[in-house]
Amino acid sequence: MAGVDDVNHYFRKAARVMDLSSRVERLLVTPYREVKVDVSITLDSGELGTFIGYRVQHDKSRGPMKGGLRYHPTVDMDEALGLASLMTWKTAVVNLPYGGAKGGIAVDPATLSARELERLTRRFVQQIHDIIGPQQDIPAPDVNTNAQIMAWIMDEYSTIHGFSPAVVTGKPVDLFGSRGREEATGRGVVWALEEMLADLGGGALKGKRCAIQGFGNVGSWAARFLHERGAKLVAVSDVKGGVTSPEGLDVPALLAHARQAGSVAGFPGTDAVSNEDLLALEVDILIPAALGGVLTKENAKDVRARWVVEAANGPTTPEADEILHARGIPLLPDIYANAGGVTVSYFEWVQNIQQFTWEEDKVNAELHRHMREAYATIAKVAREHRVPLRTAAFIVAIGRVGRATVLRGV
Amino acid sequence: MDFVDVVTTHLCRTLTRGEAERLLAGTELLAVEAGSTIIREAAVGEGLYFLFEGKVEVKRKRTDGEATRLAVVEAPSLFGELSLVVGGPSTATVSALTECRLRLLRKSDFHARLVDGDLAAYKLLGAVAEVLARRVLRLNDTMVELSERAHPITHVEDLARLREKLFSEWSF
Repeated sequence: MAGVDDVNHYFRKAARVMDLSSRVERLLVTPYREVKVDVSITLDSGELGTFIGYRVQHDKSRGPMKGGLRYHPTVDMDEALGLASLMTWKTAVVNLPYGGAKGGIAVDPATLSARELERLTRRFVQQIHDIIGPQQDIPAPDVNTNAQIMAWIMDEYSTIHGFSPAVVTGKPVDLFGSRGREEATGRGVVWALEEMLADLGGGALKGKRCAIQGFGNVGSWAARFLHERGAKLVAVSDVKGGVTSPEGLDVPALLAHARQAGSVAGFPGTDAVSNEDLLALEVDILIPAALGGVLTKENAKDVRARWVVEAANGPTTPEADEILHARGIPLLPDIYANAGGVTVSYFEWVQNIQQFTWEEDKVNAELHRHMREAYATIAKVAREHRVPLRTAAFIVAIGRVGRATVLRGV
Repeated sequence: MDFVDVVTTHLCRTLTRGEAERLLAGTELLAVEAGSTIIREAAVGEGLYFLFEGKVEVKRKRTDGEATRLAVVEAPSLFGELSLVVGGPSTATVSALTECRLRLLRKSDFHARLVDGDLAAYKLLGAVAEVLARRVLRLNDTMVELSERAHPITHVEDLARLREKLFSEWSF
């Protein structure tokens, strides 16, 4: 996973190009606040369930802090800190008026009933309500959390602080959510990819062979948008396995199958492919859209894609990143490629504050503008300073966060 | 205790026994109790002290009146060397931490020897220079340490540099 070490590795690489002093590095890397709370609930069985909740707020120089809440057994302070810092740089790359945060509960939600999940969520809000808020810290969905959970968060927070739809984003469209939010990350990934291809002489998406690892919210929407643009999806996978077809998968049928079967595995008329083998397929575009740390120093040399797009957070380890760079494989970094989600979260927050609803076309047009402008800035820095796109993205982010920090005064 | 021995082996190795004997012949033997003051800050310095036994403390008043300890000197050693070279009032107070035995070489006696071309006096000057050099080295270290401790200044400079950089070279 994107632990704090990996994120800080990329941060330091950019900081070295910018020749920042170690004191300034420390100033920018040190989190604003780390919170660890007890989230105990009575389980349906009558037993006491004790869980630990985390919220790390990394930087608030550019605005209220923003970042997901994940419910996963591996959630801990180190992971939350790394991801919170990643959010600081991500929101800065796409120029949103936000800082970074992240958190969650160390729990496997599959072991809980819906009622337990609701109690757990409400209890967590009771524990952190005084450090979150529309102008302070705005959570969002992440691993194993969804629109329903965001609705509970909004409701619980509002019982304490009064009507506050803007305290959380990723809410259901019927409860102050934004149109276009659910598909935003996948849409942003494809737009980001188009920008890179146009910039690096890769041409149009039409006919490009793509492989996606991960078929959750991000992977499945990315598959749909790639298909709409005439790209050929030759392989996809999820936790239960993967499928491949050299002629290209029938994406609408695949989506229907995955919805029904709960996995892409076993999709008729295809060959099975493992998650590991998918990364080594001969394709034009490889999109890791699942877990972090899947491209490692062991398998980076086997990657045969011409371009890599990080739809997941931290899918590439620093060693793998070096290998891919040395092999001349351009890589669109997570802090830019998957920033579509937080960008539309920002639009949701804006709509909540305005008490005004945007049409989906407006949401998408604004998202497209943010993705285009961010790519132009990153590409300019990458060219001028002859650095990879990831380093350029970090430089852009550090520059923006740094300017806000010094203008406020330290 | 053989004072001559201590001088030739520890305090001024360039002196022969004979030279050391002649030099010490002109000095005044002092025995002081723990806690007594040997040199008082701002009083006229009397000369160079050879510390043969005991331990003394060197203190100087800060502007707020509090005394700051500059050093603790243990026998065998020399102190009062500044008064020998520059004259004027003493710049620090030296008091005995333990019972001490010392010999005072008066400034007037030392200068008379220099004028006479007494080689021993010149050799002693070399020893004084060595003491001073060590003090300068220690002072340099202290300076560096204090400047490092004075964090705010470099921190401010650091931020000024960052600001300059972020609004020119790294502005986009």
